[in-house]
Amino acid sequence: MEARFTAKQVWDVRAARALLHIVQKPSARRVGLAMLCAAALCWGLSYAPGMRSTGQTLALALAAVGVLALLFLERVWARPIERDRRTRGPELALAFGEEAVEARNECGSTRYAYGAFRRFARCQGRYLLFYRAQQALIFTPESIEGGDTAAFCAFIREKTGLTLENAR
Amino acid sequence: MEFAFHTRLDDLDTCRALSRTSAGVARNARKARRGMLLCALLCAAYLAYYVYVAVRDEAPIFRDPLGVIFLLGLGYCIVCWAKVRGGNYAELAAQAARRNCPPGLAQDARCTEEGICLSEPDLETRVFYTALTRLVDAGSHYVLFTAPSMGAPLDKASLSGGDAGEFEQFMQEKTGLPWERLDA
Repeated sequence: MEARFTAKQVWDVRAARALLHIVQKPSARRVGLAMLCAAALCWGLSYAPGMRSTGQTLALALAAVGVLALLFLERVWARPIERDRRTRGPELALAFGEEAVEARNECGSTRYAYGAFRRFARCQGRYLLFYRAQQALIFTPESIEGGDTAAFCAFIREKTGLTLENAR
Repeated sequence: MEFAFHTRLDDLDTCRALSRTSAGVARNARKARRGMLLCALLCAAYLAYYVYVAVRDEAPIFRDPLGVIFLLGLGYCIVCWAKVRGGNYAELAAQAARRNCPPGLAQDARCTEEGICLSEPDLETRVFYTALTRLVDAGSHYVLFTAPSMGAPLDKASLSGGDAGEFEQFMQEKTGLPWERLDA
């Protein structure tokens, strides 16, 4: 298969974190922000008669947990996912041809027809090309060879009809 | 020698076989159980202290809403702990996996002398036997793992090209891995 573009998928904690950032529901950020909102609500309730100690205790506890969730929860969640999906060949060479994408390493190969892809996103410095709800080809823009990232995105759009989403 | 399988990936039994054998699901179940138990114990410890202070100060036991909140928290943790006990967590994970699977999705698998070929609409995977890390017999399905939580389920009922004993012996010879029996 002649490849228009090539890239390299490296499965590591950062890749797992990028995947998690998009597929996890509720996201770690949402959990953290919900806790901070609940903390603010409790702090407000503490001004009601007889609720001062209760409201302030709950507000402080929720705020502490919320900040910890915002800072660390995604990292904590990503590590076991990286371990669980680590195969014997963690690096995959990706070849984007006219008909399909071929992913190959020393353990085997997979051929994805362009119709298999349902979402194309960029998150934490990685491109994610989803072929199932929670499975994606993940690679860095720097690993793409055969053209610049704009040409690559245009190629993917032409083949799959998907436009690049920026997941923040 | 060649063995072939046809497995429906949207079938609850398939999802159940995968989740029951997945190392990730087993670890998450353990973590969920321990986490809920720890939360329940913390709530219980706080409530004990709360009651002790009330008795010491000769005040009403539930003098403010904090005691009620921790009591509700204790009840919630106990209910959650009961929910994820035993194989319940794996069952919940299987139901979630089934919801995520497109309806009607099926996978054909061929185990040949060279390797395993898995094909779905728009997707074809060829795996060498060296890539396999675990072979699990999960009752109604075989699961061939390439990572702790990534496996290919094979429906035993659809096996063609030989019987179950021959297939198991063939896979053992090719991979050098022992079969793990889930229901044994």
